Amino acid sequence: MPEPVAAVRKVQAAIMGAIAVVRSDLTGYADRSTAEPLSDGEWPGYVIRYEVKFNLSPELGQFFNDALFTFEVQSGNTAGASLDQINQQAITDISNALQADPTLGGMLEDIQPVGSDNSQPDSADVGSAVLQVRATYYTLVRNHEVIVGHGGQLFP
Amino acid sequence: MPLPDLESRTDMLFSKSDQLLGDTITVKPPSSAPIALKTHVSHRDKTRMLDFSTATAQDILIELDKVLFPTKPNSTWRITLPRLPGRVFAPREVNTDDSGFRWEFGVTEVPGA
Repeated sequence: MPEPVAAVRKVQAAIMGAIAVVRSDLTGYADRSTAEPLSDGEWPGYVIRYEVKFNLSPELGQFFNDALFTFEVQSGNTAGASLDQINQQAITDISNALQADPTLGGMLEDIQPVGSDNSQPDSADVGSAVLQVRATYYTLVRNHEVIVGHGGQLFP
Repeated sequence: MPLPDLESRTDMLFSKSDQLLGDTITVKPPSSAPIALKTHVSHRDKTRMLDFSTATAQDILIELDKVLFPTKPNSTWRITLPRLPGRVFAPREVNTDDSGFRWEFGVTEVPGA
């Protein structure tokens, strides 16, 4: 029997998979703490984090999940640093990759970029910028693992 | 016989310690040929705090004797370090050090230079 996986982790994996199809050179790092800095050989890359709000759906049969995914992209040692061209392209590619199929294979209700900005603080030696993306999806009521996708398809 | 004081010898102490203890680097002001010399260089890295991730990058600190370089270095200068072959750096945050005899600055890498 497969290990149970939280619904939001399934969404995160689908997001990272969709990005990897478009930008195989852009490495994603989940579960990366600030005590584990990115360094030479890991750029260009992004660190991904999320927060989720849960609500009972209007028909009371499912949980509505409103997840905010935050990407911090790092370009490494570039001329411009901050929100430089490399990071801007990474943010654009991530946004386009997620918009190409905003249901991520029928799993999500929708996914939309919220906005991007320079990192605050930034660094003269490492270009970095932030992108936020909002994903909405449903899970079975009182269940935070099984996603109820389009047409009632379950993602257990 | 008057006792020698440290102040009158500080400059010489710095130049001697550069010659004996310094690292060889190459400094190229924009209107000059590259100058190879020995000086104190810290080759350290540092962790940079970003918005919610971190990155490790160079935090090199270089000192240059004002006697050899009366003009304050700026971002048009180019510096190469033998321990970091193939990389070219430009000064940033150029300050006078505690003694007043030396320029003290970090560097920014110049990609593709």
